Amino acid sequence: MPAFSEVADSDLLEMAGSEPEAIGELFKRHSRSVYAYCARRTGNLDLAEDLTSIVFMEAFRRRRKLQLSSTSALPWLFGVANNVMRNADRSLRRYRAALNRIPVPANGTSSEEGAIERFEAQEALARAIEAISTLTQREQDVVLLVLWSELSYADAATALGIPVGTVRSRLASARAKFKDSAPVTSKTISQ
Amino acid sequence: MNVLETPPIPTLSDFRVSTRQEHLVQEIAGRRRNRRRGRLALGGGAFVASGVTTVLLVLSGPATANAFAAWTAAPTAPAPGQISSAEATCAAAAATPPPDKTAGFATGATQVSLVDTRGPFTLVLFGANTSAILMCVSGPSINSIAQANSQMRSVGGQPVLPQAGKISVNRLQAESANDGQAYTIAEGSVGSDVTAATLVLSDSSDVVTTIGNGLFLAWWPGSAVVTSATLTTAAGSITQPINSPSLVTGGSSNTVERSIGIGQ
Repeated sequence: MPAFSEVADSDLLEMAGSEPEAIGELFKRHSRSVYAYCARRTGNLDLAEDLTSIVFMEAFRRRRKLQLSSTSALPWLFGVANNVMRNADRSLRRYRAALNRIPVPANGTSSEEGAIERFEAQEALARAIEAISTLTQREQDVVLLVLWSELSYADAATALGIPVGTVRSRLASARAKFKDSAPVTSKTISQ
Repeated sequence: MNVLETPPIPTLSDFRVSTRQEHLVQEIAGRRRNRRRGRLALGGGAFVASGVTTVLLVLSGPATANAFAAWTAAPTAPAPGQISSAEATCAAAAATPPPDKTAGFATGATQVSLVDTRGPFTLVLFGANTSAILMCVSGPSINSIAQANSQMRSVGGQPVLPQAGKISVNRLQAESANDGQAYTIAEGSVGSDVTAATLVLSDSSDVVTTIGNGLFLAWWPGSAVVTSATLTTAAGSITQPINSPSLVTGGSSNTVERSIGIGQ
């Protein structure tokens, strides 16, 4: 049997039913991206960490409904994350006992430098979220996925469960609203 | 700033990712175990007509395991009020031990030195680095039905201070919950540069300790002793063999003077 590190995402989810370590490998691959997505969506770094754990527990629960449009499970995980964050209170209630069992990291105490970086990131997040708050929720969704999380249009469509054309039109609409203040980035041009 | 510019997010450290990864695997594995137990119990019920022995075997398994079902091999974040409640209960017991206490009970050791939480269980270490220390365990499986929720022992003695990068297991304490199930508490000291310590037990299981103030605490169901410890420092991880101190039982007269069942 190949090492988990050599197994495709879709196979890891299938194997997770009998081999829990497989979901651990999936977590290792994608947790940082999911965490960043949750943080940018909620504006709360601490909450994002717990939500990341919930996303993967939910992913395990829903693994039989998995539909991958690419070799990476990340777009699908972002879709799971969307559902988790849409019902964040319910998700947190549902997984509270499991979250309480997370060990307190012995070296989790931030250094002064780390604390400053965290504080600045939190402030930048608040500003960024405030800036896009004038967009509709649907426009924010594509901004978060395509611009901030660097998903392709197709992967963003998978995450949101909408056609690719809709992703394009919503992003165009969002960009139009910021036409005066937001120069088009290389990222948006390339797509 | 470009309005749509990506806001930076501090990267999760490898340590935090691996901690959460291990937790996730444990949770998923735990669900599988619970599902299997459920199926087993269901199967046992179906076999009632075919033999009493089978039914008893199935029913007694989960009941035995449930005493410490919520215990975790690694410390967990305490629930709101969990620590303060445990500390208050234990401190009150330390201040007012029962009238039949034996001489030498450390009534003055009410300074909390370290707290270890594992699910709903709380282990509080009082008065470390004093002439007598106390350890107090609270938790559901240590409760009696009559709301007794703590046991406290005076264990006495000065801790041994280890060198940098080392651990010293000063005491192993054998205890039993209200339903008779054994559990073991380990207490000791770590070098100032040790940031994490995992104990390897004689049954090959691992228990992550709580570390603070140069001290460590851990406990586990059963009577296994410590055979080695994996220590993490800034320089990396090392494994240190441990010659466990003699397991002290609740009936010992040298270090354990008596136990108090609070609220009983």
